Amino acid sequence: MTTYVIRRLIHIFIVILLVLTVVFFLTRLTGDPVLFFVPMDTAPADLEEIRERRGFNDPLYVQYGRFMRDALQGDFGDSLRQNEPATNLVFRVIPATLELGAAALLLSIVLGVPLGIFSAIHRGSIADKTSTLVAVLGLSVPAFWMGLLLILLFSVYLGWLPTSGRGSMAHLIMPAVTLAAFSVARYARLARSTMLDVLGQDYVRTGRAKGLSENRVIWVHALKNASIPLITITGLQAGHLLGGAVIVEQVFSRPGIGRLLVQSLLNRDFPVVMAAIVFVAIVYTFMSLLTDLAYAWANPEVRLR
Amino acid sequence: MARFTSLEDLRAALATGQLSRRELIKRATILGVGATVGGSLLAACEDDDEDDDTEDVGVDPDDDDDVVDDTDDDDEVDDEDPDDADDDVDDEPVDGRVPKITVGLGADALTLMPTSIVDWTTGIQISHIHDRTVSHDPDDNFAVGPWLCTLEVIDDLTWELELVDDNIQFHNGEVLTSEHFKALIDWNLDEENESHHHERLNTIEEVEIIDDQTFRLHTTAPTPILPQRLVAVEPISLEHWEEVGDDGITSDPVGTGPFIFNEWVRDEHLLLDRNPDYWKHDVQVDQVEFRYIPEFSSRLAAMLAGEIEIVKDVPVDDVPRVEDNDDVRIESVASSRVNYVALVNNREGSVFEDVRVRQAINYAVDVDAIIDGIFQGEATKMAGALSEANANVNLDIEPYPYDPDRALELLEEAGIDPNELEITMDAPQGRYPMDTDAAQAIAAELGRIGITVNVQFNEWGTHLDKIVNRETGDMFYLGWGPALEAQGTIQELFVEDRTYSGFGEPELTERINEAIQIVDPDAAQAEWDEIQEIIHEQAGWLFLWQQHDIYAVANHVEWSPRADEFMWMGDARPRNS
Repeated sequence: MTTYVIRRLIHIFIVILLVLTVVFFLTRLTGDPVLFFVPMDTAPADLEEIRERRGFNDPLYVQYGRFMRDALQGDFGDSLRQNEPATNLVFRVIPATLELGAAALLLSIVLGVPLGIFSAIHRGSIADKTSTLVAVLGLSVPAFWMGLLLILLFSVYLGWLPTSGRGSMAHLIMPAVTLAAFSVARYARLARSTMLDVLGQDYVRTGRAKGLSENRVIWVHALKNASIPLITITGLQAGHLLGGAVIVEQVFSRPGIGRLLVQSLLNRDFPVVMAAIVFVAIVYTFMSLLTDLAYAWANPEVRLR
Repeated sequence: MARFTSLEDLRAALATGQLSRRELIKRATILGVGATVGGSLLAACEDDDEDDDTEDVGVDPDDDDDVVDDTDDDDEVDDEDPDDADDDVDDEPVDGRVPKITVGLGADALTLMPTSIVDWTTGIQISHIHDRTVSHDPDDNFAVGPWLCTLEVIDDLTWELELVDDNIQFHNGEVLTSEHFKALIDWNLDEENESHHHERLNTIEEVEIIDDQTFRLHTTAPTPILPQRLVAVEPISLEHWEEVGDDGITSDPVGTGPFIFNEWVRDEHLLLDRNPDYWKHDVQVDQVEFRYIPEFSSRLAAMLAGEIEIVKDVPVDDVPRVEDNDDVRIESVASSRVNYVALVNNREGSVFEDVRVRQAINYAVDVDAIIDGIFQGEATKMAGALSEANANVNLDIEPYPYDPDRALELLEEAGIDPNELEITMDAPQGRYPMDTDAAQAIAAELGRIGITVNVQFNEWGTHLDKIVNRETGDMFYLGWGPALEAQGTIQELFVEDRTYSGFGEPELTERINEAIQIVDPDAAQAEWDEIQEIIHEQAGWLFLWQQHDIYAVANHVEWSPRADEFMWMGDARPRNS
């Protein structure tokens, strides 16, 4: 187990190095960052002087070497626009994104899994078809559009919830629902299919034959066995939620890693882009590791090597 | 829930604590009386410490949400008796103060340190905490006039500034003196500090202090644009600066402005409180919040939900939606920001090397039709390179009329068959109002005389790269501003080697280089007038329009936008809604 974790940590480190390398070269392809942080009336000679001073005129491999040397020490450089360390900007918004991601994940599990189980138990009923329809809607409606519709309904027409910002539970409801919509649907679909599969197994029939209550059969015996695919999907969903936050944070004007990433990409603020991407990569890879560990915990037959 | 059938019931409920003040106003309104009467009722039940001023607008200064509630209440008045509601509408400002104005902005400030970064969003917020040295005067076509200081030309290389008041105080009580200006200008002149204003101020050789209220700027070369550049010089409390240092001042500012810093939650909002001792006038807004909402649709939704009071850049298409809301109005102003299409003449093989072709393009495009059709009138046609909001504009210049026959004649004289002419036009997408539609309309207009224009839409950064690296097609679409004086536009966009220029003509360049040295305002104006005539004759651009800045403003706030995009709440006040 320990060997496995160490080996996975080494893998994670290599993945992050590769991500840094790819993103470094991709961002450099987008163009000249200097134009974005100087006034438009800056003379060409001054532009050139700034490029020189900031090292943008150096060969790309020199810039890459310098960047990797600093990045491995946790220094991604100062934001080109805000003159403060890029890591500060990222650390400042991480709590907001974690708050949103956790709320959305919780919502997805709490709503999606029971919905799927309910569908499985009442297979073929109107309730099953309705829940399937809701799930398909959740999977197919774009988050951007859904967010705007929720704002129009609950903020503009009903006045129940704030349109944007962060601070209270009320501010969290619509972004979390929007972000969770896709995941709820995925959980519901997966829970339904795995539950249907499990409910057809011999041990379930045996349980029922022994006189166990239906609730005990479903929630204790069947659910534990159905939970393995759900654990797998949870790891993947955490990554999806982080990606979805890019859009949701923008629509609901919530500070967060997604909004920071979009803004810094549009402004070619390379140090912030790199720092934010590394954060996302770390979360994604660690969630993957945690998923594997949880998988082993849920299914003793699985041996981590 | 208890029923209240008369004002007496409400008064009794308030006295016994059954009803909050906020609820009282709402219910008084439902009972068929205006919010003002509700406020009066409230006043009758209040302690002596209640702020009478705010009652006149029917809102509670202690509870920001009441602004929203009150606007909702107006809807209820409409339901009860539309005639009464109509009677309440009054465009005149009213006495008292606005409890809070929330302004929706697309981005956070980059810093709160004044005179360090050139960025519109940042500058607007800083100018509420700090005061400008001199400022653009809307009553004098935005020429530079006094603010903290008066400005006098001593000779071509010397400017004298004198404080307009000898007891202007910072929010911490420190008295403003010449030393504050010297410290800030010297800081900007130090290259180590990497200020955006370094290049703008670097002809200043020395700041000489004459006395506490007077100082002189000595320059190394005549710098007639210096007054414009001093607009952005906004002095900081030196005591505070020494205490918190350069890093501290970026997030904890102390200025002399109409509002005092309260809190700045990065990526969320900046909150400012009224400065009760503002030296210039009585500030009639208790609190200003700048809230950062990047998506315009979300910003507009927040406005329509009553969460914010002012948003800028309402798209023309959304104006009817805003106008349908009884609590919000549209305020539009012809901005000093101009839109144009550069006709690149300084590239080998460019069809625009010939002035007749450039003029033909100007005759061939029906700018008025585009303004009416696409902008629904929300743009103002430009005759030359400067808009009417520019202090140096030559108003004698007439715009090119729409005359496609004349365009064809000119092309024939130039030996060009329009049916064989194919031009690429680079354009941004979503950067300027209706830019995508406008670029396509221009291409279509030119298509009517046979010219094929291929519009290449670019992501904003790519668009800038292409202009700077001279990699655009022979035409490119760009906006420029705020453009309040001649040099900032004409030098930057008509001198070949400047960063965003697409035009070069040696004689014109020489005239421009001479003009930017003339300090005497009358002599300089005469020179700029002639240069504008040359530019018009040379047709370096397809002259388009001044943008109109369209704002949505809450009806309970009296505030009007300005052509220089200075979104300042220092002179906002309450208004009958």
